[in-house]
Amino acid sequence: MISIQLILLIIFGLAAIWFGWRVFMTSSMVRSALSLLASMVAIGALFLVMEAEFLGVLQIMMMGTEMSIMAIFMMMYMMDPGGLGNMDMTHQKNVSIAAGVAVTVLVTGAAIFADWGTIATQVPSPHEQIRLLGMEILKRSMMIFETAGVTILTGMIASIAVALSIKNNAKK
Amino acid sequence: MIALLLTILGPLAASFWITAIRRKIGYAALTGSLASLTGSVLLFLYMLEGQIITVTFAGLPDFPFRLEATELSVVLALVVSTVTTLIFIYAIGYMAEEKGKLRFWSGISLFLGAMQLLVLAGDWILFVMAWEIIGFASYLLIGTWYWKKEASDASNKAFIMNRVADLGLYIGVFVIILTSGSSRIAAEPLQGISMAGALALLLAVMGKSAQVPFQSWLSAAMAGPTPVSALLHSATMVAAGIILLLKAFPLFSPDALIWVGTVGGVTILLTGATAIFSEDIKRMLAASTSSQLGFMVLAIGAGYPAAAIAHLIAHAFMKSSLFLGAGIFQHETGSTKYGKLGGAGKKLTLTFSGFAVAGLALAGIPPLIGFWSKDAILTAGLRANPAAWYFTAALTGAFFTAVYMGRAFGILWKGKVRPNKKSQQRSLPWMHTGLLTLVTAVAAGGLFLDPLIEEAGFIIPKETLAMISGLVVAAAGLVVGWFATAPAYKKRIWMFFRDNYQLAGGYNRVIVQPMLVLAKDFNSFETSLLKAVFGIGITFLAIARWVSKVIDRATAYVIDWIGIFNMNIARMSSFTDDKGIVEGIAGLVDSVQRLGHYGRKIQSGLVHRELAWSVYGMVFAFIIILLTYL
Amino acid sequence: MELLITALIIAAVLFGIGLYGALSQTNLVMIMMGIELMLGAAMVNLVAFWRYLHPEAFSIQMFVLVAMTVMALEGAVGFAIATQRFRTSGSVEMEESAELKG
Repeated sequence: MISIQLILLIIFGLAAIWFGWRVFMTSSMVRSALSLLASMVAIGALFLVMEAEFLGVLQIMMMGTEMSIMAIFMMMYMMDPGGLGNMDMTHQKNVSIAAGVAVTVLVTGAAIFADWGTIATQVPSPHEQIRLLGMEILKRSMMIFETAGVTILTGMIASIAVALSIKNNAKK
Repeated sequence: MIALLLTILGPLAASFWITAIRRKIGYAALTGSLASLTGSVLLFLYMLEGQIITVTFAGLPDFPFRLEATELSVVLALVVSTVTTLIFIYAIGYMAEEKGKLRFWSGISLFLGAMQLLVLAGDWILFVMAWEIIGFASYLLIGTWYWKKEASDASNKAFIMNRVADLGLYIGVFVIILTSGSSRIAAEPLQGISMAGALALLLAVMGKSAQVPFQSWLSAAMAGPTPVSALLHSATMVAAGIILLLKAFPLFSPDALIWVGTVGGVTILLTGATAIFSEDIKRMLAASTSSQLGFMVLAIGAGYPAAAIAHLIAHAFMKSSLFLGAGIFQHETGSTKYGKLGGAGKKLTLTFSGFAVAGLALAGIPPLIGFWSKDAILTAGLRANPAAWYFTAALTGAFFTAVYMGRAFGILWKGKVRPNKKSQQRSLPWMHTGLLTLVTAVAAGGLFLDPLIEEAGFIIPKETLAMISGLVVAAAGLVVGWFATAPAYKKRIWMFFRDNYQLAGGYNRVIVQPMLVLAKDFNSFETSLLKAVFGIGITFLAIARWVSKVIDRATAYVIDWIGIFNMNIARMSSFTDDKGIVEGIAGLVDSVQRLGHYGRKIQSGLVHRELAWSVYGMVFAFIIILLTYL
Repeated sequence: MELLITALIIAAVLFGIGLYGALSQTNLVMIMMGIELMLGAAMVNLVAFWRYLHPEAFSIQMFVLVAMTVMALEGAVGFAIATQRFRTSGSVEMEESAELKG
């Protein structure tokens, strides 16, 4: 049965897919970064469509910031940021295509042929969702959240450590 | 008891002293003999009082030993010790210049002790033991001068012949003990013994008393010193046979006694003839001894042991005196042969007078002791069953005795006086003392003979016919003898008589040679047997060696095989280890290495490749999960 | 049901595209972009499950938060590595980085 949700799902899904495809099709670095951004945003929109408001908003906000930084990094490290060189920067194309197709097919097959049970229809209101999520975080998933916090800290320190310049600051 | 001990053990102790201490041996022997004399005198006195002393002591089981001083035994013991003492006195002088003193004195003392034991024995087993000992003593004494071949041969001959005859004694004693049930010498036995037993005893008598056919050892025994001849081979040892007959007399049946008498008679005649034709004074005296013993045997065979006892006692004194005289002549002239002795009588008048007295007594001239005893025997012969034979034999024997005594007198008196080498002044007094004392006994004994025999419990038979015929014969014989002094009757037949009737080559050819051949045959048989046994033994030894060699080889082979087998197993195992395990492990290692090497190839280090691998793995896991869920 | 399946299919396709990109690109940054895409697809999946199967289970949303955290972290660490790589060898082309070979 075709509902609004379905249409919106399809629209935003297609958008995400097309933008994702575009990431790897352009030769311009900036454009692929921005494509990725668009794809992420579309995913966030998908979240919103599927009435996970907090997550959707979070996704959009986070991805926006992250893609911007990625764009900067791309421009720093890419050989041809503008993409004007027209070089084919891919290797093992067959393998990767085969892998991608295979995985898609498999997962699709799993999705279609699996028995998902009853579909839930009632969703808590956004206010309620946030409250419940908060309760979830602070009650049951406290440990997870704390671990996640520690992990983020570790990651931050690790990345800083890795990115330090040894040549210039040998004694640091 | 003490008297018995003195009589028997005195001389034995003296013999022991002589052998062990070896000092003053002559006087020690004399002391022993005097002890024995004292003992026997004491016993005689006890006997006169009417005491019969008996001592029983432990012996064989069921057969205790006993010494019994019966009247006869005591009288005989007295005679033996008296004669022995006097001969010992003589012998001290005789052996003074001779070698072999130790053997002589110890042997003769031993003999005296054994003789007294024989006389006083109250049971047959002691008797037999004493018999053996005196035989042994005789062997020792005849061989006093053993370095002379003649003497050693003679002692062997005497001992062996006596031993052969002693078989008879053993059989006889065995029969007696079986018949009577005890070994006691009984004066009145319950039953007599069989003919076989009697003949066996007679055989022993024939051997010991030198009767025919066992008489030749006595002549040969003259190779010993004269005191030995005087004591053993005239008065005492040869008389042992007579003593045996006397002790066993109650056991003999009349038929057996005929045999006894026959043996005695034959001996009297044959040995008397030998004595007549002798050319050696001692051999003559030896043959005479055999003859006189024949008289005694005849008397017992006739059934009158009293006559035998009388002649035994008389003969002891007479013959020993004759021998002692002959000994003095021998010392003087250095030989006993008639050829050399001519005229010696004239030179040694004292000796010759003693000799003459004893000789006349032997011939049977009254009032000397010999007359009475010979008369008794002639009477016995008269009164016996086959009187003619016995009497004739005895009378002829008396004639012969007179003949050879007369001949001796003649030779000794007549003949040229030869210049002597040296006269032994030192030893003569001893010898003379012994001789003359004996001669006195001879001369005076005639008075004492009757009562003595009565004391012994016997009565001497007397008969006028016997007396007269004896006298006649004696006188005739002496005269014949005196004139028949021609020496060296060299005709074959006289030599046959003289040399003790060598029939078929004598003992040497008849017995000795066959025995030697038999012994050699047995020896070779035994040697071959031994060789066979050795052969068997060696064969078995060889078999054992061969078996052990085979076993050795087999064992070595088996062990080798086992060893090689084990070695092969070990080699195989090491081989499998090497090839199998080691190789396997090496192969494993190698495969792991190759795997690693291959794995390394996968490690390109390129990120995308690694990613691709993780995707492959992911897909693979996904498919698995799908399959499990499906 | 269709909603769920549609969402899942969308997620599958996104995942495939992301995988293609991660495997075929030479540049590290591009590979990371592919990984980001894959993670996003996963998040879509998760949300779809939450919305259509267990809307009462907020641990799913927790999961999504964690995934988002992972995305961010991975980006941070990855770029740090890229920076260091660029400093040492002058480029971030994965084609040339075969030091770990063997």
